[in-house]
Amino acid sequence: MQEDLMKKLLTRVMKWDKITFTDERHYLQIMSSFKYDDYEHFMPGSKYIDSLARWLNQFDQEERKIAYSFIKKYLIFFSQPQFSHLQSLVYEDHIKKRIIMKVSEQTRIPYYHSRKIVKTKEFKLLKRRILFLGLSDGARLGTFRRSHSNVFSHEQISLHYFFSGEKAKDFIDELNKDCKKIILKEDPNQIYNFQMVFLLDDFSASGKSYLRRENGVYKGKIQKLIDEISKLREEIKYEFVDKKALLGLIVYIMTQQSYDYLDKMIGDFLKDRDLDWEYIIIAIQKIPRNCKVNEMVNPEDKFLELREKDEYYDSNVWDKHLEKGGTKDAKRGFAGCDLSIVLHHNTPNNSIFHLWAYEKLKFKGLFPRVSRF
Amino acid sequence: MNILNPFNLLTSEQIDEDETFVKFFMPDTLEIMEKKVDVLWNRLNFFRSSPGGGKTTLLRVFRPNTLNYILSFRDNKDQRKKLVSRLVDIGALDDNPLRIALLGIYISAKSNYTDIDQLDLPETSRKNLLISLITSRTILDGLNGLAILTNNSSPENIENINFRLNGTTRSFRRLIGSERGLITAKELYSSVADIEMRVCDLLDGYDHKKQMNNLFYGIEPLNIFHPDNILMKNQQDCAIKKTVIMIDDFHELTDFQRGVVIDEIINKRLNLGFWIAERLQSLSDVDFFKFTTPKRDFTVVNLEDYWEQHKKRSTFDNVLSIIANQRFQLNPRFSILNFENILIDSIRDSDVDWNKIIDSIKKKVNKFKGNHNSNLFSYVDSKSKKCNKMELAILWKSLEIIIERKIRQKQKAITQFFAISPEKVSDEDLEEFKKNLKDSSIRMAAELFIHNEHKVPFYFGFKRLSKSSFYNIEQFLWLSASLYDYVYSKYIMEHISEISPSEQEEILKNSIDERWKNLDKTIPDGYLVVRFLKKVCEFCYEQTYQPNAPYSPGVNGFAITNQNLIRLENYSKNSKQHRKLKEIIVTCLKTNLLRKKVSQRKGGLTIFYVNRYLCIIHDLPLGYGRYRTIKEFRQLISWITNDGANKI
Repeated sequence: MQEDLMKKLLTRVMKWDKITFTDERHYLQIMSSFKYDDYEHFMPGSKYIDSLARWLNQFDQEERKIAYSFIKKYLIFFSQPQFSHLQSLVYEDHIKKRIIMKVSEQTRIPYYHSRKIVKTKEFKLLKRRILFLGLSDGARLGTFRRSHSNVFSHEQISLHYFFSGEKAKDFIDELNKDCKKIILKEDPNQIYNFQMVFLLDDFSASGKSYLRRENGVYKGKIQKLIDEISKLREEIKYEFVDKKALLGLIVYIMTQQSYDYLDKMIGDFLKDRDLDWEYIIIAIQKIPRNCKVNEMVNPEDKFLELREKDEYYDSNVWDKHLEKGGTKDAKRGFAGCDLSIVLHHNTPNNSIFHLWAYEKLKFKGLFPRVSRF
Repeated sequence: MNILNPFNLLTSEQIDEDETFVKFFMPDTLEIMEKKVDVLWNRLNFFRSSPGGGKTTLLRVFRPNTLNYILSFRDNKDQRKKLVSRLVDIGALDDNPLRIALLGIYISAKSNYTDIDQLDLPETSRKNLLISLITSRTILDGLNGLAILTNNSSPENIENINFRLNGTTRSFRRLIGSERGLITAKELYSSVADIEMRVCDLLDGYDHKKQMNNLFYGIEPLNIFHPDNILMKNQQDCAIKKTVIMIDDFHELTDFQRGVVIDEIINKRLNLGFWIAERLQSLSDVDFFKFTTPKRDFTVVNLEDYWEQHKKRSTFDNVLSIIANQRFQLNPRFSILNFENILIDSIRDSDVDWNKIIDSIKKKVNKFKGNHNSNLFSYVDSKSKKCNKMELAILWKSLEIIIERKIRQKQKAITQFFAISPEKVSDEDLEEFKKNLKDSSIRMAAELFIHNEHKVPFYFGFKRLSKSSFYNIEQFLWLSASLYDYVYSKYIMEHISEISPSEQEEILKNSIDERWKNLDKTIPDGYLVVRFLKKVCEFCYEQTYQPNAPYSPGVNGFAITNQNLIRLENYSKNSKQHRKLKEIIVTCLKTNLLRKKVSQRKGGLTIFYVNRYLCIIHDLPLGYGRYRTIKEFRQLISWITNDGANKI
């Protein structure tokens, strides 16, 4: 019955007649129950239709249709099952084949004899010498670890990318124990370290939080990680990561913009740090450039003008974090990424303001974001 | 149960659970079986209909798990009582004690049977493979059924059931390794499963010529399911007295395969019931153009024809009403409401400007008013105090139609209505006039004309919804689904759960329009079929809306003489256009867009009636209205060509 009230509210906001509401009801009911109601940051007792009614109510009557049409046609919502699916593809579709290729080179077994390669000690060894690090809790390395518990050891997966010397030492010790079991050889001089380091995260739209240059100085998570690894060398007295390691950045959902940006940036950074590492960027789901609101939305839909209106923006949202994006306002989201993406656990601020605006602002977002601060 | 629209739960295949199926099943539909009890259990019976006619639903009732459930469910005592009573009458259940008496074996022809005809093998081999596969699967389902009826988890666990092998062949007995004339259920299962697997492996493999030995070469093995051959130690919960083998989706087989199976069943004359359910699309063109019914070794029930021909309108309406309510009341908001009642079936005086309509009609008819016929007009006027505005409008319109008819009867009209010194309308003529006014076909035509001219709703109310279903339950459901959606929305917005006549008509027309727009994508020769039907409906419309309504209540069909049908059959061998015409008509029949009725009038006619839902969007009457005989093929052919009439 609560749901009925919300629908009634929505029909009043949109001034729908019964026939229009009958058509829209199916869409609303299906999409709410299938995806949108699962958004984790609706107010208690509130669900999608309620939020939609309140959101549309903020617009002038004539503009509500435009806003509603935008949501119906252009919203990209990633649900929890979708995330799980993307995560499940990481090893089988992306990492395994790289290990196979490397082992194929080492052993000269043709790469298409994959079953044979997978049974070799070299494969098992290389697989064990992978380190997974989470760049944020969105990476869900907890679920990754559990779902791959018969593939990887717990001691090669770390939920975050900061390491103390002690933890690093533990990881190396366990690594060496396991490697020696694999090759069945006890060589006191042989010390194994990590040959592949994969950094995992859920979403990247601009790439700037991973790596950027501010006044000629590199900053960001990748910078912090690499510099930490260098410090570890001093602490534990050996190379935590191999000198010719492969650095892999795996992001479940990544824009083309971020991919291109980081592709150059990581290369420059590694050169700057004098590291002879290979690097790859893997976007499990890439968001092409034409998924920006400016590219996607048909000008006849009139949403582009609506997006720029000051009456549907609150400048109180502006903070030093958003400033790093290099734009003068957040109407098109952080760094002007101009996306219409919502993740079930939080709306990225790279999406347009109208989607994620905080609850406390004068204009509230349809899927309000949880502020980090 | 969380269903967006329960009316969209159309087919019984979509309803997984027995509980839901039994809940939705209408006991009255079993009446079809009751009429055929004497032939159900020992003959071949065909159950035919267009999609959604109820074939699979009917068969499903007789499957072991459904019968089991019916005996055990306690939710709706009334429904259970009715169902049980019907099933006892048919012989599927014993009533004293109450237990299952029927072994219903079910297979669907939707499986990989047609793959057999793709193999590069001689006809005999393909025939043997088909018979082997069907027979082995039938036996396996029969064993599964017995497992269910005796509460075993699988046929391999069946204890206490043995089979005599009377009526089976020696080769079968050798195949299953039982020369002693008796076999246990377990042993039978194991042997037959092996045969089925071998045939499937053969189909999946590359070498089809090997392993063609040790198969079934006929359906005699099915005799093991004759009640006399089934030896059950425990008969408390079931005692098999009848066996029926049900083959569903028979239309999925190729023509060759259909012929093989039918011949096998007819020729082998096993003392078992065989029920075959198939869509009309599987019938040959010849079947559709037949107008006599030869004697056959099997019976045929066309489900839609059954409901219509046996004057079972009220029963069918009742069935639909209950089906609708069961779905409607699933929504807790409507649990105490009745679907029939939410469809308002009368137009309120305040909804329409009747005075304007009556005045407009009066203006036309008053041109003919004079002293000589004032008694006619007075009679109609006198009625105005006794009926509501709608009735009055219909009366005046009926008068207008009668006058128009009189105008066309020149001689009488001149003396009665137009002569300078006309004769007075006699008492006899007045009585005839009153009789004409009461003529339901004229009144119906009057109502339809008022609807057409003044946009007064016509297609509303449960009775008319039921008529527009054209005796097809699936059609009723999809029409009702749109009404359900609307009333649900209306309830949310206004807390009202009734739909006015104008709303009902609008919703139905929108829903049908949507289907009509996409029709050409869903049927063979769709584009031509739609064009043809459009022309048919336009023709019916022209014939209906003549001012004198000569074919009241209206035309919604066309007829071809039987002689012309024979000519069409012959011409189509050499003429592309005639062939195409024939194909289009057959497609329309197979997809229930047209329905055929044979009449002995005028030396024999075949009448093709338009599906009722098309009548709604073309403003045609809903009942079995009148038809017009098309004497020349070129008119029909012009309805499918783009450039007007073509000569034969």
